[in-house]
Amino acid sequence: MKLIDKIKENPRLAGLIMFLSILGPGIITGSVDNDAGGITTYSVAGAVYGYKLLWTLIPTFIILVVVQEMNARMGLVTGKGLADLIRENFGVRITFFIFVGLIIADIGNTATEFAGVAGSMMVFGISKYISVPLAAIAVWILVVKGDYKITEKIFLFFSICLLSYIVSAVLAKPDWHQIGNAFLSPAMHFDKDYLAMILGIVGTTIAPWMQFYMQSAVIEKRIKIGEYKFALLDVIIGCVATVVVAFFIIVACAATLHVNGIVINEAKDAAVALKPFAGAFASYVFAFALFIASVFSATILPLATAFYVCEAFGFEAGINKKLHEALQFYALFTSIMLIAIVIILIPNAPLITITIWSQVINAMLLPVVLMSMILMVNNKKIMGKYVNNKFQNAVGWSTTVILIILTAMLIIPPIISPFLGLFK
Amino acid sequence: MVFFSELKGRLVYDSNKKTLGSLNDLVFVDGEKYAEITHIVYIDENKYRKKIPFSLVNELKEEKIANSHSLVLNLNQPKEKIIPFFIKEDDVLVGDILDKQVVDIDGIKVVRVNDVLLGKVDRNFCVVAVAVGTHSLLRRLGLEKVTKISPKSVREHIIPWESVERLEPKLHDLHLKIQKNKIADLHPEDIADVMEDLSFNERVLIFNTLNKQQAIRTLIGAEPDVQNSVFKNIKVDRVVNLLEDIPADQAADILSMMSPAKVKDILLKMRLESSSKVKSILNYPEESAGAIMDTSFISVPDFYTAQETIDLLRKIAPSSEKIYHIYVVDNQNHLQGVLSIRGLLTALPETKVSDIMKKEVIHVKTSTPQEDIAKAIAKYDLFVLPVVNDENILRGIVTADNILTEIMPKDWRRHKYMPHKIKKKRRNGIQQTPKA
Repeated sequence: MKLIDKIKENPRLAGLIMFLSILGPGIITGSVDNDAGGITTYSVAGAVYGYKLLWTLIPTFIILVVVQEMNARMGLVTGKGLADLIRENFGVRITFFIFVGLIIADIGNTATEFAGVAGSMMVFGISKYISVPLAAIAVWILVVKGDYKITEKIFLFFSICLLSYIVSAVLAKPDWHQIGNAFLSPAMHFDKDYLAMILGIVGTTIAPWMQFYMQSAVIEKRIKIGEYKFALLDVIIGCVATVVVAFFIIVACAATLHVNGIVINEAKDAAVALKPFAGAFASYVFAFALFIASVFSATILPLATAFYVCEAFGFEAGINKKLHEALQFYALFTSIMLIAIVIILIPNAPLITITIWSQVINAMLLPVVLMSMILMVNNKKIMGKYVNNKFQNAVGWSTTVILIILTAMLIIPPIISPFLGLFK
Repeated sequence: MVFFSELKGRLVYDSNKKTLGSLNDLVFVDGEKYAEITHIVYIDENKYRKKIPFSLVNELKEEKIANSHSLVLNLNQPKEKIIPFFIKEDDVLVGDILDKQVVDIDGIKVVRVNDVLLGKVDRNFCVVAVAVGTHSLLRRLGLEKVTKISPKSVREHIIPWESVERLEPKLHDLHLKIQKNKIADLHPEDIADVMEDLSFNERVLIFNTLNKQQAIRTLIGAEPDVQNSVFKNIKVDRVVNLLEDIPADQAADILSMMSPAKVKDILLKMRLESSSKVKSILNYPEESAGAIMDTSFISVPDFYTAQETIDLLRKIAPSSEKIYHIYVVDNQNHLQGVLSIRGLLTALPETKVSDIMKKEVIHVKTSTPQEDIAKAIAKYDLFVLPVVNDENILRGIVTADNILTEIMPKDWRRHKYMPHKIKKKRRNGIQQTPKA
């Protein structure tokens, strides 16, 4: 009752609350998607390949919507989290392999977030040996003492900074003709770097950990199956937001970096993309946006991962539990963070390369998670009458197959070529 | 005793040592005392799942196959005489509990079943316990050897079947009268704790098995998100039904957790006398005596005698906190005085209460803020205070326990306190008396 009284007194607060309260899991997930991994991957894609990779955004968007919708539907119908469902339906062994994969991928993703912290602070001249440990402490405080809901809202507010990419992209006067062509006649090369880039874009936009996160968010919101239409709208808006931001980051980088042949070795190189908008302040705006996104994601990622692993294996989890009550949870959360930080603090660690490759790992894990999702979402015993339709299954299975093929094309040649040499 | 994971996949031989198939599952019936295994399920050579009565099983033996030892099931009939059946819709399988979440009644939490322990109880082969925790997890993964290296902390964690409440009843469980509803044995506050760890469908499932009193107390003791799950999923009519038969202040507590629109709807559907009482409580300022007071209390008119008062108490048999102070009111319910139980018992039976009672009563008003109530209770060493309105009409009482709950820091309430309980162990249907 108290909050309602406060709102009645202050109409501006009322407006803000209304806006924030309609933010659904889809929109929140969509925003969190634009983390350090996302910003970096899209920037590199634009800088190295210009407009050539823009076409990947269309299939990525379709897959993203279909996958997110499946998660939302599973959450609504069963009321259970994805980790819970996987464990209940596929038994211990498969769950074990999936989650080992998830932990590895998420160590990579967490490393990426800290890479983002390191890179953005380097713009201000702060060494990574100072910024990363300090950020780690900040994350720890946020996790243990912070109120998640408030942190989430603050983060969402700052993610508006990403809109500066839209302005930059337009001001940079990109060649819209070329952009159009890039979509109409997509370029496909089969060299290792191009393939890795495609996987990276898919992996950063449709990260497996986000699927778990999204389903939990839907359950948290306690949406009933009757409100499905709103959940769907929320998912679509979230996906559109993600892909639109991705588009503009790629275009902005293409129009500023690629045309001038600038290569991204560090985060501050990517900041050049914001010059048309922010001029001399470009680097600061970029660093700020990257920093906020990185810290927030660095808080959620290890926490969420630890939580889902515990959910799947029946360990106690939750920050409200004491250390001795939820030993595995705290151990997991801490180790993921520590390993990630150690990776980043290695002298001369190639931050950008690590970032891109962690997103590629996401794309490699995705088919496995996707397959388990498709099998469950088509199971009448679990979903009742809300099973997939033919289109959804088609998208789901074709994505799985294509991702596996692309992954194979990426991984197998380097393994086979030494052996091929033996036959010559 | 054997674990289900050790049995699954093992070969089933008939009496002539011919293979029938590999063991896939077991059908059991959850009865009052035992969860007896009635059938075994195996996969035959055509890859179909078939079931046969457990009575056909002769023995479970360890045999040497190739170079390793393995368990096999030997049946007591030849293949030709065995008629297999298909599994029915309402058959309950051990595989149905595996990997699922169940409620550990003793530990009052939700756990995940990693393995199931089977054994003989009184000549019947039954489900004896479920295994949760790391050791059983490692066994399922085939990594049991790992546990031999690690310290004692990785012990086998077993929960006896009688302390397990399943969360997904199947069709035949509608005969819940036969099967004991174990959750109902818990304190409503503990039920609320368990519900926190469940998905919202499971919460509604549990909630619907509770009787009215339990349902209300559970709702009041639950965290907001549990309350919300329940409200969103039960019909308005059921809420009205629940709320009408409970004291107005408890109803007001529950209504204060719901959205204003829903509250309006419910109040309209309630009987007028119930809803007006509730409405007046809802109108008190938050965190005042009026908002937290208990509207069911004992009062006697000023012309009563000590004997009549004692007779009344015998009839009502009030709870401990209400019996020690009995308030005396006039014919318009104005607070006149307070009686102590000591005074009542030591006075002559025909003495009028107005002669025994203490006329200066320490009291609070409906608008008194809770901090002041707490201070009064601490200062005067009371455990209950009467609450009057501006015209001195007695409206309710506030107990020390009420006020403690209100002023306690919110996150103290979240940490679940596990008191040491004296548990009654039921072995083979014989109840053992609790240890002193």
